[in-house]
Amino acid sequence: MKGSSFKRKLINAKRVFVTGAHSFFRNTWLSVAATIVMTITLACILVTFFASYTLNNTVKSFTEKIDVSIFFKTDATKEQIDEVSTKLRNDQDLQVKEITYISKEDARASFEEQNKDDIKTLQAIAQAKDAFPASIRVKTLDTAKLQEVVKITRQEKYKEIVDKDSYKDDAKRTAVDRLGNVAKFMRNGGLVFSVLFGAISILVILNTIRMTIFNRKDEIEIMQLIGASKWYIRGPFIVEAAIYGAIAGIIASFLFFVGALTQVVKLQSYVEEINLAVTRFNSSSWIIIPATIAIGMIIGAFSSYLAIRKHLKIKTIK
Amino acid sequence: MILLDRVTKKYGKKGLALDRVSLHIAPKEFVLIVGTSGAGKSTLLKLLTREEKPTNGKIVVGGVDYDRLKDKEVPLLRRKIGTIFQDFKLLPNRTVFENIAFALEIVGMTNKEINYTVPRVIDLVGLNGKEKNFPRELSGGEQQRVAIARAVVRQPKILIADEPTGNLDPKHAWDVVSVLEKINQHGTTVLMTTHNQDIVNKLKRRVITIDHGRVAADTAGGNR
Repeated sequence: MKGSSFKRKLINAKRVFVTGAHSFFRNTWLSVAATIVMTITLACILVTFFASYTLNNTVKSFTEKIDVSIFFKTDATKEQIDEVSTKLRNDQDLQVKEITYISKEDARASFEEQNKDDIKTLQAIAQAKDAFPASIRVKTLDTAKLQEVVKITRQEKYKEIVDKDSYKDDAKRTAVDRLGNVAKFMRNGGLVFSVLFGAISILVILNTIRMTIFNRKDEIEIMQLIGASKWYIRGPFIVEAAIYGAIAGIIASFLFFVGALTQVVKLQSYVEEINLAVTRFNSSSWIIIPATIAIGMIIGAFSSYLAIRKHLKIKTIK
Repeated sequence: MILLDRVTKKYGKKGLALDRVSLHIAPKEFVLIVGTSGAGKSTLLKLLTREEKPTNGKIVVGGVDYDRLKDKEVPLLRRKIGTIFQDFKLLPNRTVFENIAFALEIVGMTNKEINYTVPRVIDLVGLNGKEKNFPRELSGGEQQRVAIARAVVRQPKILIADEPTGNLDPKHAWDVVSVLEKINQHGTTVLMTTHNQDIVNKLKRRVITIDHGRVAADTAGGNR
């Protein structure tokens, strides 16, 4: 008995898939229209994803370059410098991301490396024993916090060991701060836009599927009157919508990788991050393409499930 | 087989479609329901197929008490009743064969069983050679015969036919009636609404006349 029930379920599942595929080909115009809308929407999602990734990386690499160096007096010991570093690192409010210690020797070596062709300068520097002070380079998660960092290192108690810092309280600094704020706004704005656009895309697909199902509401009613179960009616519609999604995913991926990305490379972008993003996307295409197809199928199937629900309510008017 | 006990159906406050209708139809009977348009014939059939619920009264069909019927059990009830609709209600994107097979698919029959049963029913309604046609490629009479084939293919105990000859010329109308008679001879209870006086007179079966939502006459053997 159990075996026959399982066999029946298997037969039904197979029929649901076959009927869904048949319907896709038999309702040619509806299928083509729905697939086109889904393709455009999925392609837009991919482009938004790419733009958001590039923007994020650009903002990230930009903000990563913003730091402050604290230069110590020549008689400051390594222990004293470590104490300042520890103090900064332990201050939760500063959100310190990284502190790099640069000893006098490291600073000199670095300078010599950078000016290895300028013999005169190198000779002059060789005479000056204490020309390169030890320093720490501080990076914070939020660039605005750098001001707080120097507020601490400029305190009276550190006057004996801290010589100066690279933080400028002038117009240049304001410009850097402003850029930091713009970067933050763009990152948050990009996220909000992506979420908003994703939601709109899902709504567009949902409405397209809803229209295709509305067009066939009589079929649903007939099936109900003959005695088909809800799942037997719903199944083929879900399969059909998943096919729209799968085909749309394939075409959208093709348009994105072959169309959009190759054009971006041809434009020879000025921003290094765009090229990096293109490379990254191309090397991840093995996961992005199946993911796009899967997203198309899931959105299609889910939209169909929602859209058909209304028509499946048994009309028993009392 | 079919029992209606003081069944009333109201649409809104004033629209009284059926007024305390009581009926008993025995197994294997062939019953004709007649009456003018708007008399309540179609409402009566819709109550039997549970397309609508009565405002008052009791309905029992094939041992199923509709008061106790849950929504999720409605598909199971409909599978026990064969229904022929006046407007055919065929699935437009399925062929003749597929439309008929659909009634068997939903009860989980295997392809082998379907391939055995459907051609026999197609033969019964005289649609040989039209198996691969879509409904739009058929005449009204042919479409009606597909609808009949779909309704009888599961060999239901009860067959409900709402004006099955309404859209047909006299010749096709008689074809349909003779198919229904044949099905009745195999033991199926047939309940059919009609406007066609000629059919009523010639069939000489039980005739229930509905007028203004009430049973105005219930006569055995035709001739109102």
